[in-house]
Parts: sequence; C-alpha cells; structure tokens
Amino acid sequence: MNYGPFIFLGVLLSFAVSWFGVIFGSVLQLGSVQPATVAATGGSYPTARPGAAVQGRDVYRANGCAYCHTQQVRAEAEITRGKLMKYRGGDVTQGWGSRPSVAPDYIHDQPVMLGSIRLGQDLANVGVRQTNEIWHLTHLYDPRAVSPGSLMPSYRFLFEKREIIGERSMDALPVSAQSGVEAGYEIVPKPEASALVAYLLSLRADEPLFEAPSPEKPKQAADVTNAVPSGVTPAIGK
Amino acid sequence: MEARETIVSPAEIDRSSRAPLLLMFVLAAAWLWIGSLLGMIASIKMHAPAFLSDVSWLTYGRVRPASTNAFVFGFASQAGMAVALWLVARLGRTIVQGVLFIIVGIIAWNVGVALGVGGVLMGDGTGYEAFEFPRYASAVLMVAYLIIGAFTLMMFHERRERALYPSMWYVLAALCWFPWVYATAQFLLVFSTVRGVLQVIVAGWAGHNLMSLWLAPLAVSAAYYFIPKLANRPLHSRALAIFGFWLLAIFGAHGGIPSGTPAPRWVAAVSDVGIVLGLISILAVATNLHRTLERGYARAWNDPGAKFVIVGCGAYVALGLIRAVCVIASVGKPAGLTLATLGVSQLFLLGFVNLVFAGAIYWIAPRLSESLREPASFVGLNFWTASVGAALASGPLIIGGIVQGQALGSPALNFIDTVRRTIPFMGMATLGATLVLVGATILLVNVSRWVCLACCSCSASDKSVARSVKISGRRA
Repeated sequence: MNYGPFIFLGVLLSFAVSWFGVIFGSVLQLGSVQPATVAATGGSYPTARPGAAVQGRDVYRANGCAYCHTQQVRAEAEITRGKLMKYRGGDVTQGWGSRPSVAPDYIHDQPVMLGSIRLGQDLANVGVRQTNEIWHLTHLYDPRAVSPGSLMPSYRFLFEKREIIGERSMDALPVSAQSGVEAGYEIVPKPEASALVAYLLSLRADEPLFEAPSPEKPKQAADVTNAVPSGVTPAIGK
Repeated sequence: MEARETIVSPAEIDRSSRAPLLLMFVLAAAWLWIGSLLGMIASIKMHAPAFLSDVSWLTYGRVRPASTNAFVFGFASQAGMAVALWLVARLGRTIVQGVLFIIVGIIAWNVGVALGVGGVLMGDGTGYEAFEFPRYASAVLMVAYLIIGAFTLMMFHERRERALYPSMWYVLAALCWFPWVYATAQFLLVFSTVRGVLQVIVAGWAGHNLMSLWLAPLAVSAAYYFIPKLANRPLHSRALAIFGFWLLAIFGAHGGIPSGTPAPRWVAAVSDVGIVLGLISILAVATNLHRTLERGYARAWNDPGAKFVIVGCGAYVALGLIRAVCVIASVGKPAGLTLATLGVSQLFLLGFVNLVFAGAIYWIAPRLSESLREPASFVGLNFWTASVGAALASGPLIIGGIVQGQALGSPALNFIDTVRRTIPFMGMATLGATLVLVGATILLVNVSRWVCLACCSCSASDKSVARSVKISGRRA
C-alpha cells in the first residue's frame, strides 16, 4: 500500500464495477421503456403531459414542492393461491393510490421528482382524487382555508392581488377576508399558479400495468374487489 | 537519496500552503454560516408555515436545498479539499506548488457555489436532490475542481516521503472518485437526461457517493491523521486500515436507492448490500481509531480540535448503524419517506462532517497563521453548540420519522394528524439548527481572526524586510 498507482488503479476499478453495474445496468434495462397499450381503450399509458402541465412541472421544480411531497405509492401485493387479491400498506390506507408506482409511470417526466420526505401528501394520484381546479388554486393561496391544520406554506407569490374595478374578474378566487383579502380586492392566479394546477391535475398513475396489474375480482364478495378499501375517501383536504 | 538532500521542514510546508488554505478555511466557514442560517430558516418553516412565506425565494422548497448545497459544496467540500491539500503536503513532505493557480481555483469554486445557491433560491434548481445546482454553476464548479484537484494530485505524485500513510489512501481515492461521481450526475441528469426512473437511480447513486466516497473519506483521512497525533502514538493497526479502506472502495459505491423505490428490485438490493458492508468499513475505521486513542481520551479532550474529531467519528458510527438497521424491511419501510430521511442526512452533515472538519480547522489554521499563542476564543462553546446542535437537529427527526411512519399506517388517523404529531420533534430540530448556527458563528469569527493575524504578520514581515533592505542600501 505504498505504491500510489496501485491504489489509484484499485480505486478506479472498484468504482467502475459499481458504475457499470448500477448505472449502466439500469440503463440497459430501463433505457428504452415504451408506453404500454391499455387493453380496455386501445390507447397508450402513460401519455405525454399537456403543454400547460409541462410548464406547471417547471413551477413544481422551481419551488421545490418535492421537498415535502412524494410522488410514489408504495404497496405490497397480497397474493393468495397465486392470484393477486389486493394491494395493502399505509399508502393504500391513506387513499394515495390503487396500485404501487412502477418505473413506466415516469417515462415522460424530466426531472422525475419522486421526493424523499412526506411532510405533505403523496401526489402520485392527486389528479384522481381531487379534480377541482378552484380547490387547488385556493389551497395554494391559503392552504388552511380548505384544509384546516395543514402545515403547507401559502404560495401567495403565485397570485396577484388586484383592486376590483367594475366587475370581479372571471378567474378571481373565492377567498374571503379570513384569508387576509381586504374588501374591494380580488385574488387572481398568475400563469404560474394555473400551470401548476394543470400539472397537479395531470398527476394520475392508476392505469393497471404489467408491472402492477389490477387485483383479481373474487366472485362473491363485491365489496373487497377494489384495491382501495371501501370507506376510504380521497384524504385530501381532511 | 535525493529526498535527503531536500528535506523541508513542517514550518516551510505550512508557509507555502498558508495563503490557499487560510482562504479556503475562511470561505468554508462563511458558507457554513450561510448554510446554517438557511438551515435554521428551513427548520422553522417546517412547523411554522406562515414564517417568511410571502417571499418566493425564501419558500421552504428553495431554502432547504440551498442550505444543503451551501453546506455540502461551500463548506464541507471546500474544507475537505483544504484538509486534503494540507495532508498531502505534510505527509508527503512537499511544498505546495502552483499557489496562484490553486487560488484561482478556489475563487472559481466559490463563484460556482455562490451562483448555485443563488440559482436555487431564484428557482433555477434542477430538482435532483444533492445536485440542485443549475448547470451554469456546476460547470464552474467542475472547472474549479479540476484545477484544485490536479494540483493536489501533482503534489501527491511529487511527494518526497514515498511511504503512504492511510490518510493518503483516502485522499487519493476521494480525489479520483469525486469528479467521476459529479460528472456522471451532471451528464446523465442535466446535460443528457436519462429516461424516467433512471434519473432517480442516477441521482440516488450519485448522491450517496457524494457523501460516502467524497465527504466521508476526506473526513476519515483527517481523523486518521489527527487522532494518532493527539494520542502521541502510531496508528493501532495498518492491516485493519487496509481492510476498512478496500471494503469502502469495493462496496461503498453501492447505495442510495431505498427499497420501495419504483425501480427494479435488484437495484435496491445491491444498494442494501453496499450499506451493510459499508457499516463494516466504518466499524473498522472506528475500532482502529479507538484502539489508537485508548487511555488517551482524557488527554485528547484538552486539545481544542480533538473533541470535535472524536465526537464526529462517533456520529459516523451512529450513522452507519442507523443506515444498516434501516435495511431491515420492517424498520426501513415505515421510517422511509418520513422526517427520518432528513434526520439521517443531518446526522451525516452536521454530526460527522461538520464536527470533523471544524476540528481540523481548529488544528491547522492556528499553525498556518503562526498565532499559536493567540488561542481561539469560545472553542468550548463552539464544540458544545455544534455537537448538541447536531444531535438535536438529527435525533428528534429520526424518532419523529418513526412516529410518523407508524401513524401513516394506521387507518384511524387522517394525514394532517399524522404530520401534526411530529411538530414537537420538528421544534427540537429547530433548536438544534439554532445551536449549529451559533457554533458556525464562533468558527467564522475565529477563522477570520486568524486570517487577519496572518495578513498582519505577513505585511509586518514585508515591512521589516523592506526596512532591512533600506538599511542595508544605506550602508552600501
């Protein structure tokens, strides 16, 4: 161990093994994943996000939403006699998704922002469980107005406060004085806020895939067919 | 034979490295301060969402990555490169060459960090954890690194002492790993982005390696140097050091992809194996240092810098153990994706890296500024605030994460209740972040004072040289 070149070569070789194994190996396996064909409709999944949602993804990235929100549903498959009966786990209980997230869900995204901490809800399927655009905009402006007790900061800088001259704008938010809006003023979303909401509404990863098929439907018990346990409503806003 | 003719004294080495090292130390301390301030703001924002919420550049999602990056690239990487430079010069008995180039590199590095932190706060972050710096900042960082790294490696090559002490292995390895890790991440994430979930694999792998194969080896090299010095006896076992080093080199690079990530299972499995074997490498280092220091703890405790290094190494062991325990699915699954993730990264950065490098600075900087007679002030306070702060900024978050993970699995609680349960833990973390900021302030003040002293002594010696030249001129 007194010979520099020996250490140098050893260090590079051992690192190269990891590089080729983990990085190059994954690229070989996943580098050319294509969208799957949906049997029911003949369409493909996932589809590329619409333009406004792509702009919204940029707002999501710039403001670091991923430091509090994940976009990955973790669920374990419950298999009986070789058949997938249902998915279970905390994420399914919270109503965050009907199946676990898998690699093909993300092929159109750049950057992919899976997140690593859940200070807020998982958003992999937020576009499935809350489809109301006004709710999302209000939630961004004043989270506690629609979601009491929430720890989310407000994103007022994505909105414009305007004096009402004549009639109220079409797209003014239904926020009250409780949210700190004086009489005679209205809150209008800036383009960034609208784009961000378009992105949130585009977040839906519920199509069954080869990697995450839908559970078998038992013949008698109709109430356990769905992967989301009955009684669990979308938890957003609670 | 040649070496004997040109023996250089430690004082000469220190004189040659004074300018670049003091510059790096003072800038590193400044970034530590900035990173700690941003970290404290982020920590408050976690449980008080109304705090500074109307300013776009201070929103949590920008402040948190800005803080981490200021810490990783501004403080830890910079202090680590300075320690590496000093170790190569000291252990290789060689004078620092190309001082001007190195200084240009240091300035470029800091411009890169400033651009990066500013870019993240302006909303230009890339969205990949640990690699948020926008491309204009990363390019500058890469060029700056190539300058500093190349000169350090050149000094390594031209060392007069051919025998290699374990610190030198770690320095050499880290200097080779960093550009590969950083270039891979930049190339595959920012310049030619890979498809879908591959981005997550690349970012996770590279982020893990940025910690385990760049910052950790640099800190370990410092510990391997300082602890035997303090104990005043040789390292306990060279064989154990070799074992620990190669275990890290061969298995340390795997990691960073927790199981449950929507990626192929084998990637997470490889990552888990790497983390468990990485623990053995950590334990090898810790055992070696402990056996070296045996019965010398009390003596080492009296040295201003040593306490930092010892407690920092303790944090490293704790970190390895926690990571290895999290590999067990029944523990790791509920704790994953919770506050515990943040707690573990804080334990690494604030507990291990911050303490070891602060200790190294307290050892090296006074020697460089020839101000050993001017002891640093409030070092004890700095030690206690930095170490208790690190413990509070990480421990409660890890426990809070476990609480949160368990609550998330219970159908009786809705999501907001599960998060609100963690507020007391986040409050304690804020207290920790505040203490860390106090520690960073003391370090910055001390280092600035040494830099001033060094500048004064330099200009004083210049004046005395000038005076003697004048006098001798008159005599002539």
